[in-house]
Amino acid sequence: MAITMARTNILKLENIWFAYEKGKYVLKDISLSILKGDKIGIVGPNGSGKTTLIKHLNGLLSPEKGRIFYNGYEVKKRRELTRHVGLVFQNPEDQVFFPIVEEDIAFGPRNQGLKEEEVFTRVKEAMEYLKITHLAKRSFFSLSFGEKKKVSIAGVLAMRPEIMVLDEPTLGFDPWSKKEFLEIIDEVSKRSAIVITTHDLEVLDHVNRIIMIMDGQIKEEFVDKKEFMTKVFEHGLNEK
Amino acid sequence: MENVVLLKIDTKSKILTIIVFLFFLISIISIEQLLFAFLYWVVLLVVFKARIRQVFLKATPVFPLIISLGILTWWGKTEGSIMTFGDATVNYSRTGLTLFFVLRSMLLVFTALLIIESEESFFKIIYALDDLYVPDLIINVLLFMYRTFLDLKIEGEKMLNARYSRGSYKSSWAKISEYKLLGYMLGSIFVRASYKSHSRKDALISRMYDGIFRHEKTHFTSTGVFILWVTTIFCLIILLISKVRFFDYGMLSG
Repeated sequence: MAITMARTNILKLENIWFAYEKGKYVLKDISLSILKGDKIGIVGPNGSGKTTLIKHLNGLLSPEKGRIFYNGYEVKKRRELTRHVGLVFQNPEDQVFFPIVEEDIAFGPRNQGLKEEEVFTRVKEAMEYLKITHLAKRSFFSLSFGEKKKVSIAGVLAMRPEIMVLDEPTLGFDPWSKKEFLEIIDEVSKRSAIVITTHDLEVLDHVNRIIMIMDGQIKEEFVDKKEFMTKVFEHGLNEK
Repeated sequence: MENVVLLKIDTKSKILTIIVFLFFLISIISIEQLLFAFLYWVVLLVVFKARIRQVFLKATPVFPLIISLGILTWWGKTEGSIMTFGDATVNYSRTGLTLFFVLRSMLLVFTALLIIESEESFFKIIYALDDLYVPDLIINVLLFMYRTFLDLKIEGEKMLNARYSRGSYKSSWAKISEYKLLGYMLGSIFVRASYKSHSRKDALISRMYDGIFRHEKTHFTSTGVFILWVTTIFCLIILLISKVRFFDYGMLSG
């Protein structure tokens, strides 16, 4: 008899509703669990609510209705989520604040209240992970888009989040950088659960759950890309 | 190469030195003192390893203001004017007073810019200010202001590129349409920078920013403290000597 270990539930969203304008809901009754070791791909058309959803995971937005649980406890303060869930923004220029690369990577760990030695270790580790050690002293604005993206990821990675959320991470990558980036994501997933919003089908090869969002609701969940492709592209979205 | 580290002047010492020197500049009343101040400023320029051209370029936006102040001073005085230093007074002609004001104002601006030009990163100055117990509110305002200016610059460059890439080059300044376009561009730059600021705020919160910019502590270096002391003593000596001299020649009264 095969014994299967139940994976720990890290984050749980329960019946989340959210509207930017009163009455116009962008998220409608969303329920989602993120387990340890998860690599979730969130797909859906533009304006379907993907980015709004991930902003709830990180605590940037608070739901109008519904509850969020972290490790079984209901989250009352948004900062509790920020500590454990790292968010990598779609545009690295929106995320990076400090002009010098290593300064920006150190920003998150310093905000976590870590000692300088620990901050230094984490910055070094994150840069080595993403192979950007040579950029440490460089100005962020002089980097290429791919390098900027790696710096923005390193900034979150250095905080060692339990869940790492990435908004359209492969946007603007050339095929070689994308391959390298996806390998990094596979590596990162060994220590953190990963949530990726994407329109890139190649990314879906690297996830173990695919969640489809349409019009602010979770339409369906797929176990792999094959199932997703069959149902969505061969049978069409509306026939399901 | 530990000696190299010892010779380095830390940012905190630089800031304090400049504050002392600025107070000295505000206190001086004679052209002679101004000459000494200028010579010492050159020393600071060399010691701080600041580039004169960059300092001058950074000061250019303030020049019209200084010149306007000079013109106002000249215009407003019909007879020889009097300046006060404590109870002391020095007589100046109208032109002399205008010249003194303009030169001193320029030296004040150049001195203030020394710190910016002598550091690689503006953030280093902010961190040093934080370590000198400047309130968090001011630190935050300075940091966000700096970042916003950077955004404005970047957005401005993007807009210019977008303009040139579609073949729209600057037409004559005599044309009203050029001003219209310039106004539109300026407005757009501010709107775009404002949107960017919103995203940046989210990004800061998502990395646990709570209103305090934590950073590695900066430390005083022995060379830095030495420069600070030398500057303080120099300023005091010049002020005291001048005071005695002016009394001797009867230039000061009080």
